[in-house]
Amino acid sequence: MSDKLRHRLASAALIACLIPDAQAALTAWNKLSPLQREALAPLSSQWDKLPEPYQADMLKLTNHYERLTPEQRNRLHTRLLDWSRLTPQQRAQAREKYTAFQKVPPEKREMVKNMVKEQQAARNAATDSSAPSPAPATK
Amino acid sequence: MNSDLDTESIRKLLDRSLSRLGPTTLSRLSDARQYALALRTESVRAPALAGSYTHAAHTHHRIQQWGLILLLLLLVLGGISYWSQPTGPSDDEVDIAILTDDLPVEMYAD
Repeated sequence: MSDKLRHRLASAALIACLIPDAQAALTAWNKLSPLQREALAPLSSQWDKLPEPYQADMLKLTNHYERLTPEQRNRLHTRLLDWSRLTPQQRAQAREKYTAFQKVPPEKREMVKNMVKEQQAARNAATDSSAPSPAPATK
Repeated sequence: MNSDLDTESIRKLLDRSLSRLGPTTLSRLSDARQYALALRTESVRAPALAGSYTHAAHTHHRIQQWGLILLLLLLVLGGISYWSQPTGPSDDEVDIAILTDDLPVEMYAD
């Protein structure tokens, strides 16, 4: 085996040793700050199993948590779990759609929002009426 | 021939010879004198011209320098304004906006 080849193999081995370390740079749930734990509370049970890129994305969200209103915090908590289950491609698509929607004139945007709210209300009413027992609406 | 000619004698001899010169020779001498005077005038004027030329070149050079500085300044300012242009919200800014928007996430995520 030539010295050059040996050198390359040694370099590859070193890189192979370093890569798992980099991938394993996960942030344990108990290492998060109280604010981060509060922001990411819905993910607490599965946090330690989330891949590092997901964790990184979620941690970035916590930077905005402090300025959120109680209502926005509630929405975040309701949606966070589903959001964390989306693939990076799905999230990228959602960002594109959201950004495009922001470019729609405000009056049209408001119209769409009202339509969606009406549909949601109708769906909730239908769920309520078809429910066998008078249980409170879930969402 | 007297070999002990002093300066005065030479001058007299030359003057006497001058009076014997023909009109053609005098005319050529006069031309030569005019030519010599013309050359002298040019040589006297040349430094002044050279000086003015140097000054003009210097001014031109300074204008070029300032032009170059201005161009560089414009490039730097252009670069700064280009790089400082808002590049749009970051992913996490959009994410938090989606997650806290009054429309459900399903609106954006299929």
